[in-house]
Amino acid sequence: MRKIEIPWESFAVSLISLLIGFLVGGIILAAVGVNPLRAYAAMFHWALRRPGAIFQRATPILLTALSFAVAARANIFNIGAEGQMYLGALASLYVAVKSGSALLGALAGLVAGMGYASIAGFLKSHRGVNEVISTIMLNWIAFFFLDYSISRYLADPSRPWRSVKVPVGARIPYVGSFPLSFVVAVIVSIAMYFLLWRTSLGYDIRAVGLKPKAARYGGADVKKITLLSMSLAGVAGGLAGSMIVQGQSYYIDIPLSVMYGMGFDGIGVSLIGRNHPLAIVVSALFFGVLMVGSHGMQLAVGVPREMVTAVIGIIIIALAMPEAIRMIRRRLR
Amino acid sequence: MVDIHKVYPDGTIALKGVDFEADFGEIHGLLGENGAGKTTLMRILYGELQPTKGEIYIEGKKTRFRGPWEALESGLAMVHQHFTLVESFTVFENLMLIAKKDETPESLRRRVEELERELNLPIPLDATVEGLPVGVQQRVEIIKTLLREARILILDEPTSVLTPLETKELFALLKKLRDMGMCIIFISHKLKEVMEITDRVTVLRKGLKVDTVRTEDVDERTLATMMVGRELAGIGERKGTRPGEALLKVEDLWVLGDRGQWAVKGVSLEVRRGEILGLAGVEGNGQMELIEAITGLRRAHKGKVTLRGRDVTNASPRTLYRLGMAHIPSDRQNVGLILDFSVEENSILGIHWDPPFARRGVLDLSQVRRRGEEVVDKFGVVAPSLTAPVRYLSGGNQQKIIAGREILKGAEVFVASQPTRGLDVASTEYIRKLLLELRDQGKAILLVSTDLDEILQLSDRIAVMYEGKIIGELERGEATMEKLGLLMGGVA
Repeated sequence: MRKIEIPWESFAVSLISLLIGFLVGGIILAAVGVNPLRAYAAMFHWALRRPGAIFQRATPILLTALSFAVAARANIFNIGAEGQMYLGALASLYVAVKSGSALLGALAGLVAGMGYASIAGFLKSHRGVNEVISTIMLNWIAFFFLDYSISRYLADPSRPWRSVKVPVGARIPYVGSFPLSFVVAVIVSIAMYFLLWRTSLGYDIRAVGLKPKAARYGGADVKKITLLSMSLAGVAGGLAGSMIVQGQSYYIDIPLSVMYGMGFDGIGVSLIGRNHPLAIVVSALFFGVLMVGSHGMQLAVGVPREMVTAVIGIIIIALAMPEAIRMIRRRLR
Repeated sequence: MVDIHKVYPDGTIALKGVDFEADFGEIHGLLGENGAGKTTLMRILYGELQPTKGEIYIEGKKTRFRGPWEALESGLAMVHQHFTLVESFTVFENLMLIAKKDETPESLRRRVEELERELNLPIPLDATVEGLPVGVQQRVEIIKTLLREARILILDEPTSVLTPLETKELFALLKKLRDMGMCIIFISHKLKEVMEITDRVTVLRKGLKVDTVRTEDVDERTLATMMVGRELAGIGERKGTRPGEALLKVEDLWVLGDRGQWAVKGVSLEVRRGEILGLAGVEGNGQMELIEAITGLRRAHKGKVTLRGRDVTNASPRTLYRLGMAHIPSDRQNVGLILDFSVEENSILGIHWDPPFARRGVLDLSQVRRRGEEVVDKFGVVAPSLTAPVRYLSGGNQQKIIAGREILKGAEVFVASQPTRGLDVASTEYIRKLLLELRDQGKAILLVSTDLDEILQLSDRIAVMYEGKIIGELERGEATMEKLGLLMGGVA
């Protein structure tokens, strides 16, 4: 067993980014007449008293972040976690309702996410279609597909603005307030880490991401690896949907508000974790703290919700910036 | 140009005090091997590069261009090997890009048509560039320079992409332009063409001017000697081995280049156990494409490659490695290594699916570490640690990792392409010694190099490639600089 080397430099950069984020956020809060220290204190105070909620918020984001991270290792800019999550949620809902099995439901979500991501993967690897464009378009296709299929086939007759619920037996349970779905997400993170750094396939994926020519020289089939990386990303993206439907909301509402945007949040969280599957666990939890704490901030200092969201957005952007710049630079090179 | 020096930021000395002079109304050849400094000299004249030292005079006036735009304003233009046309535009649209400030499309069209008449040179103005033959694209480039009223025209290896017929047409055009009083500087390494088209020739060798001569006063032989002539650098004593059976065989191989032209045109060769076959030639004569086809990185369209008796035409790199091939690629930073991978990870590139490094697709990290240590220890790699990215290693150490990795694979056939390019003297000697040791152990080695010293020092047999073909093959004993120089210049 090798000891995992801790990249202190990255931590230092993250810490500085974090301070910048809080500072700029604080300036904005001060500008609207709020004491930023009080606001931040309220945020952490509120969040840390609700650990279950933090884990719950972190779970789907961790998975969508993994979707982005795995693809990013193959130098694919995967904006498609959102759509993968939608389809995963739909497949999980359907299978869980029909079979009553939690395992089958989650498997269905996994497969749906994988298949959906593979479309963009294939378009890129075999047809050279830019993945940013294709995944954004596929996100919308998925959105309206869910909108239609839920209102048409899965709507709850008594509450037609949402779907029927996942039966109790097919739900992923809680231990006290701690969601077991979070454990699933962490297992997927560890699996992805193992795959990327401890297997020959992972070696090929990272090689293709860094230098396709050298990967080919090293025997990799670049097209196949590109497609495969995207499929793997879809596994995580699809499971994000499963965990929401089977572990949190138990239904999907019509404008998809139970999950809307979580695929995009995952991009920021992945960037904060330097696209590393294990670091993302930490950044997802941090994101959970911010999200849960935002309610506390709202209540304690009375700033409007939009304001709080803006401040959190600034913190996330500041943290994501170093890796985002690195990725953009690599693509321009 | 007087006493031009150029030292690149990385310390490479490209020019060591070159004087160069060309007149209006002449075609002036600039001849030399790779790395002689031809292109550097002309890019300095054109303002693309700034000289480290030296002065430039144009029509007696001291000049220094800050960039090509200033050169163009003064009537000096350069046509590169790679064209600067917008491929999805029509020819006319491309010309519009360089129109004068207040010029209308109509007046530009009139000017172009005038030129067409004057030079008797048909140009398909409304055709899209990407569909045109390379020769016509080049003509458009030249027309562009004429529309800018250039009087000094620099052409960098203009015939390297042309068919023989296109070359003929180009030469006719160049002569016409010369007779109109232009000064044309023709960069080339092809002796025949230099003899055919130029009025005077300046020969460069390793950053120094050898001489400027009138073309009618010399013949190909003299030029060849001027181009390569030098003392042979220490050929050490070598054990005579008796080469065994052929381990690598290439028969009538045809390969397309990046631009869809035939880069390799029916090459056959054989590399036997216990010998080094040196493949010499000026860069860009198809060696790269040939090697890529042999090593599974490029498709061969016709012909056959046999490795240790097995047909491996268009086999994947992984198959080739498993059958006993090792490849030291010429581009070590983009092909041979993954710069952001660690030393130990790079030590298993290409064998990372095979035991003992992987079992059922799972890496055995202790075996990977052991191989990394082996590469570092046996081949004297200086690296901060096994987990350090190879990006931070010197070129010599990077090359040692590649060489070490390939040798430790235990292959029988080695393909080494430019194995010492850009390395310091010590690393160069080390790599060459390794190749000779492999030969003595009975491996078959195909060595591709544009460095004649290297070819002569290492090879048992020498094949010279010219325009995609093997133009000649020499035994070690019969190879002289003059013979090689002639072959490399395309004179069989």
